[in-house]
Amino acid sequence: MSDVVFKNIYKIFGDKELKAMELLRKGKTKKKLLEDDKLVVGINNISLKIKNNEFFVIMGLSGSGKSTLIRHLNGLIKPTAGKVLVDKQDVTCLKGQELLNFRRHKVSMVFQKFGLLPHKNVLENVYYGLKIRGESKEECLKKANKWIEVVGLSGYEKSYPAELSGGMQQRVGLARALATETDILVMDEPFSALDPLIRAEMQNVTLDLKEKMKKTVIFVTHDLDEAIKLADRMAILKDGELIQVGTPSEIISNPADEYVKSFVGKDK
Amino acid sequence: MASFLLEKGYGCEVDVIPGTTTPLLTALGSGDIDILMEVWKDNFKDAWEKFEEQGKVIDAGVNFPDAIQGFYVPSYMIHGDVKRNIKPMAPDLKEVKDLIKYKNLFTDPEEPNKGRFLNCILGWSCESVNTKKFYAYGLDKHFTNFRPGTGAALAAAIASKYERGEPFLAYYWGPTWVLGKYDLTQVKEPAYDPQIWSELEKSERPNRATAYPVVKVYIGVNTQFAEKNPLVMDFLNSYQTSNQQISQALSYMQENEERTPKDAALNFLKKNENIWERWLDDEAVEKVELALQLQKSKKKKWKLDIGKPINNAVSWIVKNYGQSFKNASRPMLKLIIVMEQLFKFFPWWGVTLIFCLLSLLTGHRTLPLIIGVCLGGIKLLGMWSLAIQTLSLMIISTFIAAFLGFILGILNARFAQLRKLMLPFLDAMQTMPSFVYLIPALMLFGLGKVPAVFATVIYAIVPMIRLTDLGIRKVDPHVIEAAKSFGANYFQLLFGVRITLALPTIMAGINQTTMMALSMVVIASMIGARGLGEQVLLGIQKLDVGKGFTAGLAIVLLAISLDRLTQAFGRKLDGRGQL
Repeated sequence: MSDVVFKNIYKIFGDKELKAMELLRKGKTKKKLLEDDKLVVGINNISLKIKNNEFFVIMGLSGSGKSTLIRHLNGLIKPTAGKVLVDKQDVTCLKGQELLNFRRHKVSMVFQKFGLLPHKNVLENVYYGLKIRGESKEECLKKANKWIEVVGLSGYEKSYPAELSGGMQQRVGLARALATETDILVMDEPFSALDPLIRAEMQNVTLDLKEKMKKTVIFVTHDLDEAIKLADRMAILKDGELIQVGTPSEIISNPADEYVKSFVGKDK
Repeated sequence: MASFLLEKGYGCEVDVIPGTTTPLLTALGSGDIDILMEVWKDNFKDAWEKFEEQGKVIDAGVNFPDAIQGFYVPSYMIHGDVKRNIKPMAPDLKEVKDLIKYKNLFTDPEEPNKGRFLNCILGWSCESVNTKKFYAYGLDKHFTNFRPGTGAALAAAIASKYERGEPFLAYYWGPTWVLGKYDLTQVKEPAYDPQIWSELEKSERPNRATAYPVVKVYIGVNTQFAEKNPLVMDFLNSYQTSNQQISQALSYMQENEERTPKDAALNFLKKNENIWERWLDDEAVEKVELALQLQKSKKKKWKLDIGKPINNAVSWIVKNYGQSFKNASRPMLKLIIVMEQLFKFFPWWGVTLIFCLLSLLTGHRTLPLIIGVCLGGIKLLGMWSLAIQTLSLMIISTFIAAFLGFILGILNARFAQLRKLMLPFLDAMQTMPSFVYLIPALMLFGLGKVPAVFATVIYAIVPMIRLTDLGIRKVDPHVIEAAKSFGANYFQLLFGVRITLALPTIMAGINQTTMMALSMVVIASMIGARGLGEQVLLGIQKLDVGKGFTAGLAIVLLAISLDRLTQAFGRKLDGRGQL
C-alpha cells in the first residue's frame, strides 16, 4: 500500500547548511567542506525507491549515514535538500498536526536502544502509540494484549522494562511498533545491542512476522548475515553515499566496488 | 562644627578623633585629648565623677540638653499635611492613654484586632523597658509588641510608612537622622519621675510608668587644657546645640552618602549664623564668616553610582505603588495566618502524627520514628509554638518557590537563550547577601511575614529552577526520540515523558528548596518574621548563648525531619523510574 521514495536527499550538519549545499553542488568535496567550513556531510545525494510490502535492508558501517537516512522518513530529521515521498506525499513538507498524524498513523519505529518508557510497564509501553493518538482504553488493551502475545511476552504485562532482559525489552519495542498497525515499519539496528543467540532468535521472530504481515519494512543493520537473512532487497551505504542496491544474491555475486567486495568477501 | 570654628575663629590646630566612650574618657583624663564633645554623663556616671574628683576633667557646659527617647507618631497624623493631601487622622492624640482610642489606625495586619507598636530593637534594653511600659499603661492588650530584628529594619519600616503617609507608632531616640528627616511627634507620657523610673527598672510587671529621662549631653575638657586656654573655654561654654539641630545635620548626611561630617557642619554653619554668632567673640565671628565664604564646593569624583538610582527607584515604587503591594500581600498574609491556625488547631502530637503518617507513604520503615523523635524533641525544648510559626512560613515559601521554580525550570530547559540570560540572575540570587533584598522587601510589604516569604522565595527558588532544568534536559534522548516517533505532541512529551522521567531530580530540587527556605526563614526574623529565628537573634543580641542554642537545635530538628521526608519521597519516585 505504501511506496517510499527518497529523492536526492542531502543532509549537512552545521549552522550554514544552505551555503554548504551550494558549495557541495558546485563540486567541493566532503573532505574540503569539513576542513574549511567545519561542516559534516551526513547524507550526500541519496535516491532510493522502496516498494510496497518490501522488506528492505539498509546496510553500512557506523557513520555511513544509514540511521540518519531513515530518520528522514518520519521527519525526526529534516533534509538539507531533497524529498521523501510516501504514497506521493512529501514528508519533508509536513508540519505541526499533519506531521504528528503522519507519525501516529503511517510509520512506526523500533530503536537500537529500545527507547522504552522506564516508568511504564510492558502493557503501558505497548499501547503508548495508541494512547497518544487518542484511542479508547478498551481498544488500547485489546490491541496491546494481542501484540504482546504475538511477540511472546504473555505473562510479563505488569513488568517494568528494567526488570526484563535485553531481548525481552526489544520484544516490547517491537510490540509497541506493531501495535499501531502502520503500513510502514522502520527498524533501526534493532538487534545490534543483543547477544548473538538472542539476536538469531529475534531475527526468526522477525522472519515469522514478515510471512504473516503485509507491511513495508525498512531495516537498518551493520551485519551482512542479518541483511542477507532478512532482506528482499538491500542497499549499501558508505560515508553518506549510496554504493549499491539489489537483492542479496545480486550483491553477493556482483559487488559494485572494493568496499562491497570487502564485506562480501569476508563473509565467504 | 566645633573644630571648624576653633580652626578658623581662633587659629587652633585641631585633630579629630572618633571613638567609643570609655577609651575617649580615659584619654581626656590623661590629657591625650583635650576636648570631648559628647559626654553622656548619665550613662557613664561613675567614670566621669571619678575623673572630676581627681581634678583631671571639667565640663564646659551642655552640648545639647535634650537627648531623647520615647514613643513617636508622624505629625501628619495629628495635624494633617496639606501638601501631601493627608487629613488629620488622630487630631486628639496627645498622651499614651489616647492611643487606645486610635488603635484601629495602627492595625497589625497579622493580628487585625490589635494595633502594632514598633518596639525597640530585639534584645536592647529599651525593648524590655518599652514592654514594661506598655504593660503599665494597659496598652499591651490593645497593641502587639512588634520587635524589629535590627536598627536598619526599624528605620526602614518608619521610612516606608512615612513616605506613604501611613499612621504608625514607633519607639525612637535622638539625636538621629530619623528624627531629623521625618517630622515625628512624641506621644506624651507622665513626666519623668526618678522614683517611678527605678520601680520600673526593678519590676517585671510594674503598675505605673514614666517618661524616659531627658538626658543632657555635656562637653568635657581636660583641666590643664582648660586653664591654659580661657578663650577656648569661653567658646565651649557658650557652645550649645539641640537634639533637633544634631538630628537635622545627621539627616543631611543620610540623604547623600557622599556628604561627610564636615559637609554637614558647613551646611549648618552657613544656614544658622544667628546661632553660632553667640558662641564666639566679634573678631572670631568675622574670621569664620570669611572662611565660610572661601569654602569651595567639592569637586566631584567620577564613579559608577548605581546606589542613587536604586534608592530613587525603590522610594518611587514605595511612594506610588506601596499601597498596591500591600493590598496584593493581604491574601498572602491571610494564607500564612490560616496555615498557622491550622497547625495550632491540632495538639503537637496530632501534627507529629500527621507527619509520621505522611512519611509512611514513602514506604520507609524507620522514617516515622525519626520524624516522631525530632518533632517530639522540639516540643520537649519548649519551642513548639515558635516552630509552628517557622514551619508555616516555610511551607508557604517552599510551595511558591517550588511552583515558580518548576515553571521557570521547564522554560529554561526549553529555551537555551533564556537559560543563558537567567544564569547570572540565578547566581546573584544565591550569592547576594540576603539583607540586601530583605530591606526593600520590607519597604514594599511592611514589616512581618509577607516580606519574609518574598525574600525566602527569591533565595530558595534557585535550586528548584536549576534542578528542574537539569532533570528535564538529562532525560534519555532515546526515550524522547521514541516517543516523538510515535507522534507525541509537545505537551505529551513534556508531561508524559520529560517531567515524569525528571521527577527524581525535581524532587531533589524540592528538597534543596525546602532546606534553603528553612535557613532563610530564620534570617528573615530580622524583619519581624518571628518564629524560631527570633529566638536565635535574641540569643545573639543578648549574648544569651543557651537561648540561641536551644532555638538553633529546634531548627536543626525541624530541618532533619523535612529533609528526610522530602528525600524519601524523592527516592520513592527514583525507585519507580529505575526499576
